[in-house]
Amino acid sequence: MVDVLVRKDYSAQDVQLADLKRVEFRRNRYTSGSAHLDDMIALQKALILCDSHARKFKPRAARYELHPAENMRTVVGNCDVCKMMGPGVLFLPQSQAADERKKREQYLRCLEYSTIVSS
Amino acid sequence: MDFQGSINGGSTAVIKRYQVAATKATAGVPVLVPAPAAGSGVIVATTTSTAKAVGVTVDTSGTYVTAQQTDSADTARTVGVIINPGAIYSLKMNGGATEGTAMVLHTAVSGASDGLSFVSDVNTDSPELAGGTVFCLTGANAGRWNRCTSNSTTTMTFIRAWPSDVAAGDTFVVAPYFPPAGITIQLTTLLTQADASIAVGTGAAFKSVELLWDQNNGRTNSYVNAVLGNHVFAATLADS
Repeated sequence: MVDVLVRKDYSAQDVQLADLKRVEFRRNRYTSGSAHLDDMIALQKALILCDSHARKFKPRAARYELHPAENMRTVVGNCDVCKMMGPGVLFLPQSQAADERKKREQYLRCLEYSTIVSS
Repeated sequence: MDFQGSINGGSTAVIKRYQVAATKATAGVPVLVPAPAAGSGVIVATTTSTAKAVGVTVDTSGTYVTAQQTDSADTARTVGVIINPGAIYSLKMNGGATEGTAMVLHTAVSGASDGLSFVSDVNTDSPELAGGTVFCLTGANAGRWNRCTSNSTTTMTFIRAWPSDVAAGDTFVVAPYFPPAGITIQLTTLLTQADASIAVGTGAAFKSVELLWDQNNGRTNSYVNAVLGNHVFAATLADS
């Protein structure tokens, strides 16, 4: 039989030091947990994430957002985390998304007032 | 150049990442298969050629490098490409090679009493506009369109009469496509939009599906929707 001795008399300072130590191992808000995904974010690439990894991804923290065009939010491709081919969610860097949003708005405005010519 | 859906009825883009053979600084441009032994990845189209197109990019590539990096970093640069062979893309029409150029405005000097022709204040013979689509911005025919079937220096002629006679002062814009007859679209300098100021029948391989004319901003916010006309994943080019 082995006795496990657990220290119980932690001081407030001990607790504070332990908290500080834990911070080193806590993910910072811009780290996704996947080295490949972090590289893609650093390069400001469009990201495709399967449903499972899209749920874990925090786009705002990484300065990303969903593609502004509704028809481009769900695409088929390889997830940038698990590499599985299938339906995924497309995220764009916020800087690129702003341009895409402007283009989308202009196109939708045209559609609203347009005459469609298809002989 | 934005993905709008598929000619097959689907609306989901299939995106793959390919290595690039040059820096791609703009998203939404067509990329092509490189010539054998002539590049380490996809190459960008030109304003007049989209032969062996792979698709249209959704992001940029970063700086293309060929030399080994001092920190042994990866030298491969990739770009995401929409590869659906039947993808329909919307291209804003421009009046020149530069993105954002308003389309050329044709103001009628006079019109025939049978609605089959009118005289424009702009040369309609250079570039050649016969076969293109003429859209009426203002006048009795505003919001209607017709195909120019022949032309002289300033006179455009039509087989189908305009519903009302064209009167002096009526305004029009012309696109060098007549869906689905158009098989070429010339791209603008950045390859993201269409240069609609060129002659009918010139440009890169596209098949026009439809035109969208904005009745309020016809010169600056009208589009041609088109499919890449020479795609490597299309069945007829399976050996590309």
